[in-house]
Amino acid sequence: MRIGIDVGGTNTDAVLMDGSTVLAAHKYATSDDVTSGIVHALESLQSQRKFAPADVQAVMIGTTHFINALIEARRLTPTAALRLGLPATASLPPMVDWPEHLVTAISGRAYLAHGGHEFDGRHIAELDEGELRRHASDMAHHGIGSVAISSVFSPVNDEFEVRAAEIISDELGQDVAISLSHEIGRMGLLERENATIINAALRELADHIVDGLSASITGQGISAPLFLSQNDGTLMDVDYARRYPVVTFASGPTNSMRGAAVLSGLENCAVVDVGGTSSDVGVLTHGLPREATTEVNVAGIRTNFRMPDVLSIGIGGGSLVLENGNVTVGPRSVGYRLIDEAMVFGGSTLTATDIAVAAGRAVIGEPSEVERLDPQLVKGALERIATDVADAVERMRTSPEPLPVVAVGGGSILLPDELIGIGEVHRPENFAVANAIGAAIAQVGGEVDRVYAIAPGQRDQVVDEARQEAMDRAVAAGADPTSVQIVDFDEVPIPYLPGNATRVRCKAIGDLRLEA
Amino acid sequence: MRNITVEGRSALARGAAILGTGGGGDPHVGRLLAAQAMKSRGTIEVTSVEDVPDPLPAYRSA
Repeated sequence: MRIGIDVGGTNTDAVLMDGSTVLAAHKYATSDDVTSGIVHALESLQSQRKFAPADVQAVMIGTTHFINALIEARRLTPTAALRLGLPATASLPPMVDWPEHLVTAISGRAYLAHGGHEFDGRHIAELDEGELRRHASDMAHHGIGSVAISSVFSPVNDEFEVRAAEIISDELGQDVAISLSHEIGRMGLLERENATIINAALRELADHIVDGLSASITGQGISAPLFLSQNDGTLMDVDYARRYPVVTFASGPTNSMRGAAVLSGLENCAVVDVGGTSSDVGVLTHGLPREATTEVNVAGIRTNFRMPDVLSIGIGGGSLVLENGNVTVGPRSVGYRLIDEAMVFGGSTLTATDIAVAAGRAVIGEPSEVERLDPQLVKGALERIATDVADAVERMRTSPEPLPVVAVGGGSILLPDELIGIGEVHRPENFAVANAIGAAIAQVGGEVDRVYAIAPGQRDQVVDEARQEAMDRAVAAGADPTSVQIVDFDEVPIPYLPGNATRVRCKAIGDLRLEA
Repeated sequence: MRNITVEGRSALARGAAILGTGGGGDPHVGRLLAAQAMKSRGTIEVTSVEDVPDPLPAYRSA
């Protein structure tokens, strides 16, 4: 048995699963502290379906704690951004394009130092150890708790970042966490640097959250390993999560999509996840979320780490329904206050949930409260929702092939059975907890992303090596060797590098190896 | 005569992208550079080419 938990901004969902069978499911408002929501979820599962804690083989948690901390600009560590690139890059110092309030929230300090590479691997300048030590002592003086290091073209050569990290650690001690840009982002200095600074600012919170999650699991007598969901839908162990909290950012939508794939049995489809405040529309190809190919904007900051391509629109179960001439739904929402403010719960705010109940699509709260709503208003609001969602799906579609739509999430009762111009809406069983199911069934991945110098006639051998290494990494991360397969392979020749250099990216995924 | 302030940087970048008809790619970095320059040097005064006094060199772009 395994337990999947998805901690969203509004709700915490949990499922107890045996293979692909859902034994128990739980949905409850997210608590402000980390532990009590998890403990409550585990107790609720236990009360629905008695299980021995020793029978749980793994616990998977997807969490929005980290992205929400950034969006709300709360609980962030004072962070220094150290860039190696002088004399180049000085005209645009680190965090130049950040919203002012976020720079303040992380007490951000930018440092420029010599170093960096040209695109072909030549040095822009040599590292200056004295300069780095002076910067480090200034960081210490300003109470910096975490450092992000980015060197120009570090994806081509990481030597300066690694060496600078040693020097900074030597000055500041082991308590100051260091995040290196080549481990986090891709080509593109500003975006890679931004992702690294965000990661650095979340490191203390990551320790706190991981400790809290671990404690709440063990507190229930469960000794099984704990995993966190990543952006790509694979799992990471807790030590990895402490170092790379930023890779959890899109785990919510990813888990919903993966859950939708398993529940509906569809490998290629659009998934509409309707929550309390917004709807996320994503596309699955071969059961995996399609990745965004451009920069991803997070809380007003441009980054370039791998994220699923998701379009969010402001329609959810708590969306305000207003009528002035024509009917509007959202983007304002009562959010988690739905159970106090919606009319079906005795409140006085007309929400999308009230509309769904009035139309007879669901029975929630006290349906008699909405009996007297104007039928024209109900019809108008439902049409508005259907049109906006259909438009969003249409925008995500990249081919004229028919694209089946799977609706998940608690708010999906708002959607009609058919979207105009698109087709039938599939509503699988357990749709309300698809995200927790997505967490529970998540697999383990291994990735290789490296520049190889390929000698003539040696391509096949290099490709085999890269594939084998990705599979080995997946197994090392906990995958069952018999289930591991390559899901993504990509080779890009880099013509300006000497020696037939080719960038090879290879990703392997397998099922989690469970100890019986 | 008009002035371009830091607030107008996004419109300036979009306009540059249209005049460039795609050449030079995303004007994001140019926008950041212009914003930095405006923060340290103040607003940009827009002058027509005819109004530039003769001995000063004039540069045209786009």
